[in-house]
Amino acid sequence: MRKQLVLALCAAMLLTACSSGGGDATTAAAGADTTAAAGDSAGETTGETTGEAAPTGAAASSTGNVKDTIVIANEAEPTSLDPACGNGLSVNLVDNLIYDSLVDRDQEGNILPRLATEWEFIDDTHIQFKLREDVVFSNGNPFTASDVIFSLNRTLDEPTALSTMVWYSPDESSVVDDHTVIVGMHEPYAAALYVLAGGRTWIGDEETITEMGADAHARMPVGTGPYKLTEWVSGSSLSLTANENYWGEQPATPNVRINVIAEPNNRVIALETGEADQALYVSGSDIDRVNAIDGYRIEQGPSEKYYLITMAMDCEKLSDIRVRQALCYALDKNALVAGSFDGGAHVLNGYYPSMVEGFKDFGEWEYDPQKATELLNEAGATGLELELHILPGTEYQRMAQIVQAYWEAVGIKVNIEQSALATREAQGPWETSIRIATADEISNILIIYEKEFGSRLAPNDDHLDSMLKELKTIYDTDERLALEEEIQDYLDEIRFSIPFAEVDTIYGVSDKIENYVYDRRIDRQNIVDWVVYE
Amino acid sequence: MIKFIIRRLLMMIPIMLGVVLLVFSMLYFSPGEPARYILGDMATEEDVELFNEENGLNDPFLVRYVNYVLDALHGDLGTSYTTKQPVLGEILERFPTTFKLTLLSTFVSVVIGITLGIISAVKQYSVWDNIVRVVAMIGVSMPNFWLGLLLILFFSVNLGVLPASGIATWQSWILPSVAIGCSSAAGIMRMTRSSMLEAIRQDYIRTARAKGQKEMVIICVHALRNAIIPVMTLVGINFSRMLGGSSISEIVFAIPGLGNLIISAINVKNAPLVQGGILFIAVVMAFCNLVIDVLYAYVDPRIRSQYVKAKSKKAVNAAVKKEGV
Amino acid sequence: MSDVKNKAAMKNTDDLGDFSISSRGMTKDIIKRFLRNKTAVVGLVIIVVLAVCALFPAQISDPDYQTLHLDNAFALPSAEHILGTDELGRDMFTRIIWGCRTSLTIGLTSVAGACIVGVTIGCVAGFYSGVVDNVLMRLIDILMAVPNLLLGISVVAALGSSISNLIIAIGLGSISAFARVARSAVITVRGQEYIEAARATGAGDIRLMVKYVLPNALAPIIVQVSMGLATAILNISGLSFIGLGVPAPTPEWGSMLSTGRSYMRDYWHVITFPGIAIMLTVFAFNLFGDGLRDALDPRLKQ
Repeated sequence: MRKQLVLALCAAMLLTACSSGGGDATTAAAGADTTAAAGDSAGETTGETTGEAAPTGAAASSTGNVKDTIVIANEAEPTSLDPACGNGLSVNLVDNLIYDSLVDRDQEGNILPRLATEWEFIDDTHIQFKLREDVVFSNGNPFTASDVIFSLNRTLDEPTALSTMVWYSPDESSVVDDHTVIVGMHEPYAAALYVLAGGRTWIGDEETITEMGADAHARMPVGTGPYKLTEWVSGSSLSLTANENYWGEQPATPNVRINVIAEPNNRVIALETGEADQALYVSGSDIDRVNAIDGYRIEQGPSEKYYLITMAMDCEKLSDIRVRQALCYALDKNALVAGSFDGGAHVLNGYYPSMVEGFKDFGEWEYDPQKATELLNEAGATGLELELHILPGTEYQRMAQIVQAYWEAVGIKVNIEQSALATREAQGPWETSIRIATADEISNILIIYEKEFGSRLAPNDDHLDSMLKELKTIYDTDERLALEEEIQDYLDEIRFSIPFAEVDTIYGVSDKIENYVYDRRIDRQNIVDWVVYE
Repeated sequence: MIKFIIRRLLMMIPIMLGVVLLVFSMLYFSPGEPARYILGDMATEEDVELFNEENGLNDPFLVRYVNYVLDALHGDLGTSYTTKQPVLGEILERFPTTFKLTLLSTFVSVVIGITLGIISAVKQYSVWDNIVRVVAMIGVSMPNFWLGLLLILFFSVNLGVLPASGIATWQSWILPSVAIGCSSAAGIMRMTRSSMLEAIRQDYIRTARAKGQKEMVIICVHALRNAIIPVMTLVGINFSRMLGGSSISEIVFAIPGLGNLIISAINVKNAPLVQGGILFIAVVMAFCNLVIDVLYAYVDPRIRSQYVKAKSKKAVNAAVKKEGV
Repeated sequence: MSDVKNKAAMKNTDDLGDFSISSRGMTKDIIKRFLRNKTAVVGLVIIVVLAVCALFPAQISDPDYQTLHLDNAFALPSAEHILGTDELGRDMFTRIIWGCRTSLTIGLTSVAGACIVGVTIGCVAGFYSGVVDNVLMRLIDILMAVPNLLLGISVVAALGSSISNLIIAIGLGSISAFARVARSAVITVRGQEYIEAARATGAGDIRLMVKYVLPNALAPIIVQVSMGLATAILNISGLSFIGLGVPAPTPEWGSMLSTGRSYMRDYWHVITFPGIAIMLTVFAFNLFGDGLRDALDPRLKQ
């Protein structure tokens, strides 16, 4: 009898021992982290007057105590922090804090100095950059021109960056001296500076990456940015602390923690409990709720993301322009947007987001099911049956079902197909699909219509393709704007896509953040300036 | 005993090879390219080709399978497509969380299950017994992710007393362990009830009663001690099952555990991580079952005699596994 | 995922084969015993109601389960919509009734498939024993070594989400249970005299199995069907919940829960009713299976 008890006890002890073994490691690390961080902040910032209005107009209703850690609730963790793998906002959010790029870009799209102080086009395919001379990496290694070449060359071996970097020519690029570098291109490429300011060309340290190995470095990266990564609890959080070797002004708050909370509901709960100072990707249905939380508000504005319906250009059923027009007339865009996003997006009446260069507004959407039916009859496409592909996710399902309802109202049978990207590809291009796209500068605004890009639209229009190719080579703004208008008109004519919603960037933000400046670019917020009161 | 353990360990090898083959071929023959998902829409054909070459995706099936198995024997489960980190490392990073969650859930299920089981047995056929039994049946029938949602709705949203997600504080663990533990509690309650009923009818209980011992002592010491063995076996079996079965709850509560990791890996067709994760869980579960069997044989001297061991342990196991693990 | 598995464990049966019915005359007894078990009858009644819902959804609720009423989204339960409306203004009651058809169809088909495959494997293994048994049961062990849900998830993720793939995914996970039940039932029956007698008359193996062994091993298999259905329905809803289930706009309880999850803070009804539907269905099959088991095994009722 006694034996059983003893055994049960032993088993229990064994189990607890195992578990606390695992647990202890993280707790200890986290503990060390907070103590290390606690010290250096307090001084200067605490002195500031309480209740002083923050630049955004939100009163910092505080007791005067400044928090030493900014907590941001994000939907996902980075896949990798390798400087060449800046694929996605969750990655660049962190990369932007721990790395620098050669140049920077503000909200209006102006190119600003960052690691490079000045630059000039030597000719159409060579840009010479002058680099800052006072820069060291967070581990103390000096930053030099060879790090730039090393980092840019690496992007060509990185599949996620390769297509953005097709213009870059390693052979034409060279180190002039320690602080001067020439970046060469295969052919004139108007978006080059945008790409260099974007998320795929962060500058890493050649020595460290070679020493550590790229994979290990991707997990514990070394950069020149204002913060450095101190701890990464997989699937849970990333902790950053100020980089004391940073070349610029030290960040106002010494620590940043990014908590990974996948569910939008739960990110809002994190605001309610005061656990987070900012929640990213708040859903439209939560806007009122966040505004109602004492001490928090919504910051919202248009972004570079938009939703569109694509029609495969090689699809027999859709080859008649009247069918495509009918699909447009049959759809009430306004109802679709109102019914899908709960106020988190606006109707888009153009071919890319309204904030992007050269956007053309095509005016109020014409919803006319009568006309749609006529067009279908004219085209002899009665009894049309279409597949509509979506990615997994509640919001996609909602959109698809609304589109389906409208199209079925004019007699088109719609089969909703849902699968993850990977499975979709092999199953061929879909007749129609709903997708989200990003457009913020010339290199990507119309990329989905390019032949090389291929997926879903299956583009096969030579005229369109040559215009798109040309667009990227034009340095002159006016010339480019003219071509952009021509392309948009052409897209409106051929109707292979129905862009319908531009998605808002929606943040839930604490009123206690001082120096907060709204930035639609989730990964480019001025986190370094934030001061958060208790 | 040692012979028994060694035999069981040896038997695990072909089963694990089979598990790898199963998962491996499923991902291999399924349409779609991992490259597409991982590289995103911007990727061109050359990007895809480069990716495939780099990850050895162009080799024939058998070559890939054999390579995988050989590497796995050296503790190398490959490299995650998305993060480029060693799969084993990623798994080990997440496993303690799942393990802790399972442990806590087991604790919850044991406390609730045994308590209710005793009440139900002692008051057999009373109102309480019936209530407890119906509640238990409902507990078994409730999807635990739904219970999780209801708990979040009530305790986090309405009352605001417990965190809804993550593992930041100790309070965060309460809701998920209750959500997962409840359905197991039902099974444990039923097992406790039936084996208590059997124990109560035994002679020594009658003897104890005759000696005038307190009812409380009789129930909790004498009867429970004898009734506990099959219950503990069930607890062990539940434990190993929860290790692999709480994935959806991990998602509901945003717990960065192994199940969560595997499901997100499946969504992006991150084959190395899926294979590695499933293999890892299978191995851990097999070990758990082995430990349970060994403990079981050790705990009860009666069972050590071959006959009983074969019979009643098998009954529990068979009955439990009957509905599939 | 589910813990229906424990159910069997509480009964201290020595072996599963004890359920076997040895003569047809007992059928009446079994029905009588079953009817005496009130909870089991409750289970049966719910199952009948569910079956009616699945067969005649259009008569019970609105035949139109998918027209959108965007202006009436998230209506709370009222006289007009007794369970409220969902995010696209569709009546929840209608969708839950139609969802019953979806769940039961997938559940029944997958369990039927698993039953056929599993029972065949189990019978062959149990009947021949030795090497055949060993090989087959190791195959089953492989299936069992992978948690059901993860197995299902990887099947659907690999093949894409559609109703037929979901059936495969759910079915694959249930095979092992049937194989084991069938095997142990067959093993108990195998040695009995009437089998020997039949063999002596020159019956071939297959004939022997189908004609004599299987019918006598049927009872535990039927119980397993009921329990298996309960598990299957739970797993279907689980897969749908993580977005790997039935594609929209087919009404399905798990995906209703998954959609509702985003809005549950404002509208309690969107996650409450589909959950109750799942629970009730699983509950019914569990009760029924339990009652059936008790009825088939008289020795349990002292």
